[in-house]
Amino acid sequence: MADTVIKIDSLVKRYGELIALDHLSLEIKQGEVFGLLGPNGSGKTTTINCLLSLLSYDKGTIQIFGKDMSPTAYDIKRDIGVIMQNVAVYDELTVQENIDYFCGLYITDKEQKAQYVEDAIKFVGLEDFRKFRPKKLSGGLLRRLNIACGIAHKPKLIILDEPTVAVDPQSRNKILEGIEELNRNGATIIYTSHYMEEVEQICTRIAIMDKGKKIAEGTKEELTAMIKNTETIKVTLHELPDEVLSEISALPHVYSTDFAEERLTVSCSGGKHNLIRVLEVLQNHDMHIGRVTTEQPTLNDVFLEITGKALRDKEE
Amino acid sequence: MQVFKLFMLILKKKIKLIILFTVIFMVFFLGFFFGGNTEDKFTESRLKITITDNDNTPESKALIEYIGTKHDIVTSNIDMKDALFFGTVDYELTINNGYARNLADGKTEGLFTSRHVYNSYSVAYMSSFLDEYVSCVRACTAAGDDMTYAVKKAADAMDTNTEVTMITSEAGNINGLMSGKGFFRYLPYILLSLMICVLSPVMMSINSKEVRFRTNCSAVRPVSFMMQILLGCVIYVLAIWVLFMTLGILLDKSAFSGSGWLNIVNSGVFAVISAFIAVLVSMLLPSQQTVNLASNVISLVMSFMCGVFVPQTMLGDTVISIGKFLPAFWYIKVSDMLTGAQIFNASKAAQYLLIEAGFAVALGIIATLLYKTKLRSAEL
Repeated sequence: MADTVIKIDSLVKRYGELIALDHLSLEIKQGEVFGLLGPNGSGKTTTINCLLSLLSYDKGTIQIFGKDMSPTAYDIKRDIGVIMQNVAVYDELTVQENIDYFCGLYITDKEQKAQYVEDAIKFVGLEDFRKFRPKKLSGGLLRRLNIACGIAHKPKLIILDEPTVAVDPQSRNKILEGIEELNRNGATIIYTSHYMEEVEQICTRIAIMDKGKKIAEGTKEELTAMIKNTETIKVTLHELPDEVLSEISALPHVYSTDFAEERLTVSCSGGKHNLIRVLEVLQNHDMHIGRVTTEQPTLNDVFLEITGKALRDKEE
Repeated sequence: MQVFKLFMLILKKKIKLIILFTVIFMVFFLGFFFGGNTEDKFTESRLKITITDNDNTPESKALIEYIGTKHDIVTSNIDMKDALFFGTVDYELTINNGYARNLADGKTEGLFTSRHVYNSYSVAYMSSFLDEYVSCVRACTAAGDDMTYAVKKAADAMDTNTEVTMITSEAGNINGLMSGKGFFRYLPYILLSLMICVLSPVMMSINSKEVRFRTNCSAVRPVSFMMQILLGCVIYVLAIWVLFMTLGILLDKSAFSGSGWLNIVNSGVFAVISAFIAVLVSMLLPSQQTVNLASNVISLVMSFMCGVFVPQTMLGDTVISIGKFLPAFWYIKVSDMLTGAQIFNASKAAQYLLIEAGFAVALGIIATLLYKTKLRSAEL
């Protein structure tokens, strides 16, 4: 069994009357890409801040690498890399100077530091921009610099707090690929996001948070298995008589049907060949079938079913 | 020493600004220094006058001759109105027919006719000159002198001047102010400007919330972080202070002789005060864009209210009362003693220096407390 890198036990953080973290417990193993998923205000960043001892908490314990985490636990901090949502670099320094400075906060050996800085520049693909000031970089390149500053000292544990906010899709993919590579190189990753697609793509284990509580935890498969829905069938139709809708609702494994805006939505729980059965009913009644899609449940469905609300607003 | 290196690296990027400020300050000061002071010099103005003599008597000729010694008698080729408008002639004087006769009869009205620019200083000057001349001649004729002798005597009498030498102005020893010693008088302005414009942005950059967050996550101890920044500040303040002390010596080698060494102490204390003000500014301003504005406001307001640019003796009571709450006021008090603007008094100088040091300590305490509060807020 892999070693435990982080152990959070019954963590409570209050802001006056507001409970930001409500008896949160987590265990993260070495080599994992652990996703913290939840809507804005669910307590993800508070968890990270408590984890890094940037924020005091009211109750509970935090252990990292088997030792109690505290503001003065510098030996633990030495092995942690942090990449926050906001780009945290010095505008006055060049790309190379920035990486060199942040790496130097952990690595004192000059030669080793120079090598690590070079590795970090290559890792994020900023070789051609090393003499550039941050203001001259595009948004995507700036994010890459932000990541390079956080990982240059080759930490064993890397914490990324929503690193892809306001990043174009191309740069986002590049960042996600980079995170996977860091994990392959041996780093344990904690990744917080409210973008479920990203978490689904890179995380080996996921904890879903809401209102400071962990509401579910497991692999993507384990999480989707927790909910009733296993398949959602969507069929575009011009019209659908009530008797046909009733017939579909009566099919085995179908637990919910809906027809709105010329689209039939059928939610199934378990079973096989559900799509074929639905299409047979429609054909038997000479319905003109348009577009047909079938979807596996997502983490959003998991969140929706558990909390009754979507992970993020539609505009996001 | 990673944080110290960072401080120096960011400071290095401001070196052009430091050079620019220093050069501008020195150019202005040297402009005053070599331009000399005109306050203690006096030269009589010579007006350009055209004279028409309608009397044509020895008396009128004597007057013209005398005017020629004091002013420039010119002839104009263009229309007189144009000449007066363009300033090629200051005054057109006509000696009326019967000038000598009327003067001998004791009449002083209608002796002259004139054309001139309305209400100009040359009118007042020339009218006064002619009145004085006529009065002198009248006095002599009244005393029984004949006209020929009276005219000569009047000219002699008017040539007698009282010599005035300006030893001190209201502000004190002017020559002292415009010497190498006077250079120290203007230091508060440049020290404040250089500290706020350079040190504040460096501090703001290093302590910006995002990067502080990242530093707080690192293995660097907060005390070590603070000490490295402090070391950077001390080195910068020392460098600026040494630079201006050196410039002071170059301007006047005797600047530090005798009680002049107090210049070193005085400016040193003020450099520390300026640095603390810069640190406070860095913590209170919302963004680096506002630093220049803050620098101008603080340095100019303090300079004007404390007597850096204008001597304290010229300041109003209200300004003086407010100025007493500002450190530059006490700096100038010491500086005035050293330039000779005020009588030197060692115990008073020490007292003023102590008040200045008190400001430094108070500002230091406020800056430290505010910095700690900021640190706590950065720690969330």
